[in-house]
Amino acid sequence: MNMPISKFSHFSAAMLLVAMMLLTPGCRPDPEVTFDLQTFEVDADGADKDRLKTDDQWVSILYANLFQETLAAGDLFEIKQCLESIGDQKIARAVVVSNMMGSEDVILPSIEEMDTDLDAFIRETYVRFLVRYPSEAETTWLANFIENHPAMTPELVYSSFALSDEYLYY
Amino acid sequence: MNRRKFLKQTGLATVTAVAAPYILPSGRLFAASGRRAAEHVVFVAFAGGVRQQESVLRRYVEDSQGEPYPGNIMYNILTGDAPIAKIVYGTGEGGATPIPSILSAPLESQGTLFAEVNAVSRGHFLGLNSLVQGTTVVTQGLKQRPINPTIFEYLRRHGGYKATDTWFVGNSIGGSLPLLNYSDHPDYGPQYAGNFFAPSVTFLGPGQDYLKNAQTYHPENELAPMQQMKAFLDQQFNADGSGGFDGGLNNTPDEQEAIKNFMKLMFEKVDAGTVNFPPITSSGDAVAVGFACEVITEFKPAFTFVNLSNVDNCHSNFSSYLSAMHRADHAVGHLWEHIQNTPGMAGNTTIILTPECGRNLEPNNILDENDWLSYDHSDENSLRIFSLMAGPNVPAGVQVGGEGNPIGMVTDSMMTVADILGVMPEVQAGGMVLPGTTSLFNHI
Repeated sequence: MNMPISKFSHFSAAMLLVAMMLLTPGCRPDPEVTFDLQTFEVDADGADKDRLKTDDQWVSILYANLFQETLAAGDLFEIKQCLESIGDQKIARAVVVSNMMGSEDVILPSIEEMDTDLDAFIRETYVRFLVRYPSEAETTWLANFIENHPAMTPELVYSSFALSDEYLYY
Repeated sequence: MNRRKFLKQTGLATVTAVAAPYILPSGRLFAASGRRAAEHVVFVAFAGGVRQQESVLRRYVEDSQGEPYPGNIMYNILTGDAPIAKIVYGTGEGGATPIPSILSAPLESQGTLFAEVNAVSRGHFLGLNSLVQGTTVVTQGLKQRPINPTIFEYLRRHGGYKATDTWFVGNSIGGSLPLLNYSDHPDYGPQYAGNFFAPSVTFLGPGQDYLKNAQTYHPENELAPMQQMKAFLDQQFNADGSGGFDGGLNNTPDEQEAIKNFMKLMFEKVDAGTVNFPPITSSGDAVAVGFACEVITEFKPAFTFVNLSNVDNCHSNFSSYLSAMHRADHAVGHLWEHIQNTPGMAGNTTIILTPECGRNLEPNNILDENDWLSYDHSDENSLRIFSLMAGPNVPAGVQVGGEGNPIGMVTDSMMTVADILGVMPEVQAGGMVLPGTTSLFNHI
């Protein structure tokens, strides 16, 4: 006994539709992806910093550290030109840092905030600029130094860190 | 005190008194062994690619454009009458008004002209390298520091000059110019580098936004503790075995502060319009020379290298090339006049002018507004240049060599600086200059 033609067509179309649904990639469920990031430990050791930052990196990171925002590409280009135009890069960087410190937009803790909890200020400064915690000896030395030098302000401390050799490396 | 003890102490004191003056800032025990013909040298890289035909041959548009008007458009440097027609290199409408001469007597009549000298490169960067290194390494590319030591390093290492005694004033930061103040040579390098400024960037361009407003810290209350804190941080870092090159040029702390103060002064002078620019400052070369004058006033360097290059517009505009050459001459006249008016430099300074390369004999097909053809630098004519020097112990009014009789090489200019400032024996002993390179004095 033969199946009527119309019934066969409906059956075939239904099967085809099911097959297409199964094969269409867009209908597959999203695979579960796990980003296996290694944890980065902020410690008191600067010995593993052996890679010199490029001018791009140094300027961009400095700006982010001081202004807490990203430096525009045009500004980055011009600051790099300034660095190139001066032979002694120690001088060039000192002047760039000092110029940034003169901006009213730079984000600095107040002297009162620094003095209220000196250890916390030192710890935060290390983490901000050198991406590590200070050792106990470093904290002690810096705390004593700041206490014994009343003219030391957060600006001067930040400048010292920004111009340190360690800040040139990552 | 007995006689033996007296003699011993006296002898020691005498030895110390004799030796002490020769312990140099660089740590050398004895001064350089060469003669010293002058205390200061100002070296102008009359660069950018200058054709002999329009410069020392004084042919204006006769050779290049087939116009029957020879003449001298560099009358602060060279002797000879100006062209009588087709004047386009001056100021005003169409450049029709030549810039008046600054010097009463051209440098040629005050010194010695080496009228036909062999260059070693047809390009700018290698040409400039030949001026600062005394050689050219063909494998050296752009964005690469000189492979062999530069004259700055020879002077500082062997002559005992401090960093602020040697300066490179560039007219831009293009063409890897900022890399020419020291080499990658392992025995020399940044600790012997010359200081460098590209004033058009440092003081006039982006520097106005990113350098000008640097704080002035109190030297004792603020700066000193800041430096102490940085020294502590550096000590901790270096104790870890990390660290390395910090980008410094071995300027002492006092020199660093002197340079920062100079920068502050320059920004003030820019604001006040009192930078010692040449009377006509319509070119980047003139700007470089103006700030070079300021460097000379402030630091009275033993060696100042000034780079000019605006004539390079000859690639596409011959009229602008003539104009730039006329202005470069004007700037050199201003520079020499300033030197003669600077106490400590006047009468005690030698000036050397040398292009880094020449320019083609045959034009390209680019026409300018006067329908004049332009010139690149790639053929044999690009290896033809001149040198000129004037100053103490330089014979006046003498010409050495001429068209068809080349005498000297482009690298001789660097050796001449070494000769004048007393380090030629050490440079020669190093064996890192082009064979045959010698002092221009030896060609006279």
